[in-house]
Amino acid sequence: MSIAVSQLSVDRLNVVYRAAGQRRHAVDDVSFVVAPGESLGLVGESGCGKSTLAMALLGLLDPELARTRANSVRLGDIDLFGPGADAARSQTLGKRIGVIFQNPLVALNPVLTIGRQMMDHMRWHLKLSAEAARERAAALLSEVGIVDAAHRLAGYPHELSGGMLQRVTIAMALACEPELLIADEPTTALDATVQAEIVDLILALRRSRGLGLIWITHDLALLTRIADRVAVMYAGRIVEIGSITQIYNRPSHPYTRALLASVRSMWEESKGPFRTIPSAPLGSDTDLEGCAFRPRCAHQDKTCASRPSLVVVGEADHEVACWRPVAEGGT
Amino acid sequence: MTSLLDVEDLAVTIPVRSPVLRRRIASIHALRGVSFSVSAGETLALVGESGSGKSTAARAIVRLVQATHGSISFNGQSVLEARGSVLHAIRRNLQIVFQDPYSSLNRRMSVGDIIGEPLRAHTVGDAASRRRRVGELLAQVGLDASAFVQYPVAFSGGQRQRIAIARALALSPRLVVCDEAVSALDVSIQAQILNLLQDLKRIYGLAYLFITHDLGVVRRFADRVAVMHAGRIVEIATPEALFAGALHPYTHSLLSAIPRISIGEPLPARIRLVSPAPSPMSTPAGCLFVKRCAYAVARCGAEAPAMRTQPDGRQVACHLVEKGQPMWVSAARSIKE
Repeated sequence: MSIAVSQLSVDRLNVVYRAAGQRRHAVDDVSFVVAPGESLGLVGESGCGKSTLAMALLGLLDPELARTRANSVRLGDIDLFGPGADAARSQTLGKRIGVIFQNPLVALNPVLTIGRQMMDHMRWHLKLSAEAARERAAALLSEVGIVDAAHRLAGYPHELSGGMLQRVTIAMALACEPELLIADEPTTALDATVQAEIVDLILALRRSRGLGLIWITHDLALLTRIADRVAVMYAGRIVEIGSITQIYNRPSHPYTRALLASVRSMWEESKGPFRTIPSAPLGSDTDLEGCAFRPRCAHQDKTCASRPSLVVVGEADHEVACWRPVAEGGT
Repeated sequence: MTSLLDVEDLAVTIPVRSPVLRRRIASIHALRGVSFSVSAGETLALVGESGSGKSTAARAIVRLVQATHGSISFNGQSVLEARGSVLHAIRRNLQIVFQDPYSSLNRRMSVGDIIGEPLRAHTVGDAASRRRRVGELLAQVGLDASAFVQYPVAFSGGQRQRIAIARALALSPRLVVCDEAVSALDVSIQAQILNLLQDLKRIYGLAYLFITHDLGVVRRFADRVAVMHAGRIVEIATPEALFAGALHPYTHSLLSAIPRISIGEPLPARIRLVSPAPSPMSTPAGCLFVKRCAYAVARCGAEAPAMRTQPDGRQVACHLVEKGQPMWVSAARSIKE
């Protein structure tokens, strides 16, 4: 089935968590665009805000704990954060935007059959009869590689392995023919061989359906198979964004460079020490006025006390938020 | 090098009992007879996917789970039969670092008390000398002396793992079992902890039994790698030999599934496994990999392959390896042709 796909554009998204009198800017003025059918990798280490960003896009954050603000988050002509956002979301999320989470066992309801969980939202969004929804659910399970699909619909989540369950959640995410899939570490909880199979599956589905994709991960190596473009997050901000070749072969932000060097050093032949990034000193917080990477950066100077914004370096579409970006060949 | 730790035919079987009468109705074969050794000062990596038994092996060695069969000898003494003062002495020299530095540190104890606890338990020195030793350990693992009076909550995951390592080293052990000790950490922090472990290995002449699911990490870190599948070891080799070419088809598929950072370079062909891992409750007669293996022949289903040492010293448990050559490669080629 071929569908008209729209562009997702996120303009100045902010999420602030408040708890016990403390305030934490988890997503800090993040803007990006995912072109129709494009695959964007969102990469960063734990606590950088990448999952919060996904949850905010999906409207899944608890408003009691997190305050979410954005100029606009548009999918085509629909604004998910504008006036009438609630109606826009209920028509869009789960239908035009599908989602896959890290842990399929938590994402699925343990006391409902797999069929029931798959059919409910199809009946709501697509207005299908129970019979038509069941047929479609079985077809989707077959498509994601689950044998004996009709039988599995009557089963419960605990009867399936982690890899199989993730296939079920992928089938659910695809049920309403979304234009965009948000995948939050969908393979992190899986074994290496199963991870490779799930990646193959999502890539094949993406090709056959022309899906846009936002793939959130901490695994830089994994993205080389998946992403057209990569956004690197640090302390709630996008510090560098560009095509996969620009980011991996010509990284410009000192954090991107250090992260890549660290991953690459795992694969070097030598027996010397691994390349690391120095830790931030105890007590240094991320809510800094200036560049958040400053306490760990080897290149920092006085200019870094004010905050850098994303600017184009070298080629068009390759942007970096750094006062002292590293030129190619530099260290 | 003489071996420090010798594990012979170690098996761990966990009974599954009926809900009411508690009768044994089945058995989970977590470990189905593994043998390996670790020499003094050596790092042996034990790798495999979840459920392969690698953590059970680690726990059986430090006697956190009970072995049902086999023997473990540490420094010439039987670990499984040791009692009282002999066990006490073994434990001084055999320490463990766990995966999750959040649950493995008592949040109500100060860092100084956590690191000093093994010294108190083994009544080493007096209070003042123990305090000095803790200070020395803090410095060695790269933590500030002020950490002494702080509590785990003040520290990040990487720093907590440093605390756990300091505690494991307090009694100057000869072998440290690292059970997925870096798996929960971010990649840049993983590298820091691996470097720390390498430095400490030099300072203390330590040996490591390094349990991990991440083959990438072991490449530079390990002296030898043992690959586990379904409770058995299927291959033991140096990382250089392993990454140059696996002898066991399972190792081969595992290696081919690791994502690598390479843009534009052709990826190695992925070897797909044709079925999931066998149930830990099953006890098939043949090779446990047979249903997943694309190259299996009749013999593989009938007879379990023994671990055989190849001319170059590598060990592999596969019928289709002859004189250090994986014959399944040519078998696959002839099928294609």
